[in-house]
Amino acid sequence: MRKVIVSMFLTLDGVMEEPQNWSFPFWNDEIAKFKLDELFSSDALLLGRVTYQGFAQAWPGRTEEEGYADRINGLPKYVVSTTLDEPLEWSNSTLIKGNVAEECRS
Amino acid sequence: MAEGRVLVDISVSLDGFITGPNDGVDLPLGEGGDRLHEWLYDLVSWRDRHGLTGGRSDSDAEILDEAFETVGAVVMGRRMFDVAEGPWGNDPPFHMPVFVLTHEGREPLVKDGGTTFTFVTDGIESALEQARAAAGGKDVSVAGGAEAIQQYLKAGLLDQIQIHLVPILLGDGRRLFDDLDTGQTQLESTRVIESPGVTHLRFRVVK
Repeated sequence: MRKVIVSMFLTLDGVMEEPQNWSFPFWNDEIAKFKLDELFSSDALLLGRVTYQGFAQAWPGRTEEEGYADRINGLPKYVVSTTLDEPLEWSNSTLIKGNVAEECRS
Repeated sequence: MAEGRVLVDISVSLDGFITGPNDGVDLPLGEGGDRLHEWLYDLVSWRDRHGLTGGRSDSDAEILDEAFETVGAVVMGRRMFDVAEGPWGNDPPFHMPVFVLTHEGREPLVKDGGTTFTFVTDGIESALEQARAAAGGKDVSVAGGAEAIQQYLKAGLLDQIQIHLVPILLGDGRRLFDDLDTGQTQLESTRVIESPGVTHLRFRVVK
């Protein structure tokens, strides 16, 4: 089985919420390459509902030279939520309603 | 004389704790909190400070030496003093003047090895002023605990924060950056040194 990786933008005092509000001033080419390599070395994304909804608004239809948008739009996505219903609108998204550990193993 | 800087130099878990849960006089670093200081115990300079011989001299040891060399006086909170006074014994590892923030005045305490504890009842700025005077141009270190560090950070009195980031999730305990209520504080990353057991992160506080 492959590894499950958590990769987060995090402030020194431990906040990871709403990175679009504070992380952009720290963005640079090195981070861009890291995130790009990370995405291309992953086979699937595991998301909570809030992150899914944010991403599902931001990514579909986008495309750029590096291929990040195409890759994230194309990857299988597994969304953990008890309140969302299938079908999920973002391409290749599957809902996980419960038994998160079991579903991730299979 | 040039004024030294005001520093914080402290070991922190990946989830931001400087002790495990249920810390107190019987358990100064809380449950599991000793893990935060494990990177120090084998180092020549730490062992020397604690009356032991031998040990490793590597980049971790250099970082610790550097911290001892640049600092001329220490400020700490009363709680830290209370929980650690016993374990420190007659020869606490500071070997320099220490100023303790407290609401109850008491006579200064002179220990072996050059460590003196002076109890300051009139606030953090007074303690810093006294520490600066005693430091003779060297840096002043705010040793802890978390509340004392937060007070100095909130008052805009810190110049540098060095975090020794230890790869453990303690889950609970005393959080270093709690109750700040200051909005954002901008930091400039000035140095990162990776060691096998700990990552040393240094930041300048942007004022």
